[in-house]
Amino acid sequence: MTYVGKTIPHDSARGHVTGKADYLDDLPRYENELLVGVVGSPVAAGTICSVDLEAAKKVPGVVAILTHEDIPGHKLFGPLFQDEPFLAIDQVLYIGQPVVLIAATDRNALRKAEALVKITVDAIKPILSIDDAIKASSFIGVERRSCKATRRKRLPHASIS
Amino acid sequence: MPHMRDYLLIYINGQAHEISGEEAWLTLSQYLRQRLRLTGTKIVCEEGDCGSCSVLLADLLADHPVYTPVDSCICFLFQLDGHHVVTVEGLSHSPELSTVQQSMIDCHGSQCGFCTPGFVMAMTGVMERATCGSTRVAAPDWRTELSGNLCRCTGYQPILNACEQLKTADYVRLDERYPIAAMQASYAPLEADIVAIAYGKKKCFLPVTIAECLELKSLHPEARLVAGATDIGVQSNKRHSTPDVVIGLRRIVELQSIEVHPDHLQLGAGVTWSQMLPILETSLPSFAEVIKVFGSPQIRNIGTIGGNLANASPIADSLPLLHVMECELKLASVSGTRLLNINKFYKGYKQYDLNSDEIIASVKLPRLTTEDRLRLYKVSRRRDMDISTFTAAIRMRVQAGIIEQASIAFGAVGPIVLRLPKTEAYLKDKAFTKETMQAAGDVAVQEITPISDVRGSADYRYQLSKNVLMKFYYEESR
Repeated sequence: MTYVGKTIPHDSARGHVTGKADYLDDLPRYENELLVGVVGSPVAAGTICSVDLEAAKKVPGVVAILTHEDIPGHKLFGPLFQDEPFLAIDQVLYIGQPVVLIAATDRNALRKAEALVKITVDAIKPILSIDDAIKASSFIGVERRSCKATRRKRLPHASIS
Repeated sequence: MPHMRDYLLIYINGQAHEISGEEAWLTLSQYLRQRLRLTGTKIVCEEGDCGSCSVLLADLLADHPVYTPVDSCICFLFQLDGHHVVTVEGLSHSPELSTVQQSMIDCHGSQCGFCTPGFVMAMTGVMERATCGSTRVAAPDWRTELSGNLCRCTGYQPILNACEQLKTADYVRLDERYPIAAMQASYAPLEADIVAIAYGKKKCFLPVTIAECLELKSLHPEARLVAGATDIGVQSNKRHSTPDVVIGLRRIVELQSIEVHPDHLQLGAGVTWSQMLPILETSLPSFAEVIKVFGSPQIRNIGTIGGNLANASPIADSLPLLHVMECELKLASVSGTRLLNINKFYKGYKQYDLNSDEIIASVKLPRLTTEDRLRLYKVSRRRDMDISTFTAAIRMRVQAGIIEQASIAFGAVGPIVLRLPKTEAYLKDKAFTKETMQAAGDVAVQEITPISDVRGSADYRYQLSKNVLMKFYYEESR
């Protein structure tokens, strides 16, 4: 019972109140470390027509510019259903959805390059309510059903005390 | 001719820093984090909303410098010549902690910890003010004092508990760590210098007197005057546009004068909202109430009345009041000064009657007479720290139930703050009744041109314009 009933300070509290707790952005940069930024969809819904990277590629300090085409094979991720693209493939589903990834040597180069990426999207009206989604039969993933189970029927071997 | 200096002298946690060239345009938070690696100052919103970047600022030119919290993410280094900055790293030397830091640990005031340094700085600022003798605060209004700091995981209750536990008697003032007189003495030989820094097409001038400022403005009419930078700082972070040529106003003590006259207040354009607040609380309490929800303490500690006027936002919180009070602006240039009623100042969205060689020097704010009824309204989604959806100032003189005079100004219903002359004329000589005010609402909506935006629809603003007149009636008839 060493701890019960006692007020134990947060392990990191001292670091928090003195500013000494290091967060990711607080760590010193390694040599050759790059800064990465994302350019996202300008609209809430639509089909990507073109992605123009030419001007952004010419910015001094830009090391790499990637789109979904640079991701070999597995382009989707997700905690339960792998249905979310790392970088948008053809459809965009929300404003800011990552389309282009830029790596640069410094912040200014990154900002400049981000501003020069041109993403053209054929915008469509976004579905913003459940009613609209039902009307348009726009559902997430495959259809699943939940149904009530009675204890006896579904769990015949469960021991209940 | 005063001596010219091509670098800034800023003290940070007791150490002098000379800053020259392009670095003068860095924000304070960039300098702290990227150059000095003082990464306890956190960046979250980059627009002066969340307070995670709060640091304490003391102006060495003041007779009795008091540390006040400001948002370092929207504060440029060129604003800070002759200031002492204290960051979270400067509050204590390991292993000792300040009472504020210890209290936050004891009361579990941190969870993820990202907002914590900002809270600690804001709380320290309150303790500094509460213990500076002449303005002793018995029981700080912590909820108001911390309205410029957002927390999204710890919860505010443990933080407020940490505040309530603090005792002014135990508090060790920053003066004991950083003798301010020594810094003032080291800055004194340089305090009369005009600072002039050039880097490529960028130019920065920091005059010390109004005369020097006017001279510089006539030589550099394109220069942007910068006082608190609470808007320019946001523009710089969010739209990546920082003015190339700037004249900083914070060193001009003359611009910070407050004169109290029997019939009016004369407020220097460089007076901050925090400096004004104690005087308004006695002389114009309804304005003080609006100022208390104008930005946050961090914003009010550096934002100025001149800045609010020159930024010319149609939703600026101070403007409706200044319009109905018929404030007179003193505009100065090398060729002289002129006086202009604020109701004639604004010409269109962000456009006003100010020549390129002129500056706003001061504002004459008349006092209310005892017959005046004045009410100010601010409608926003949140009470604190929010941009207004609609603002209004209604001033009326009613004698024996008859409206002798009405002055009405609405904000956020047009490209500039609007006076409502037709509504005012309609109200004149009418009985101050519910029916009159209802009918006045129908006139008012003819005089405004609201738009729909993220903060509210045009219809909502039309409705508010009517409702606020009724609200005034009910409040005044109670």
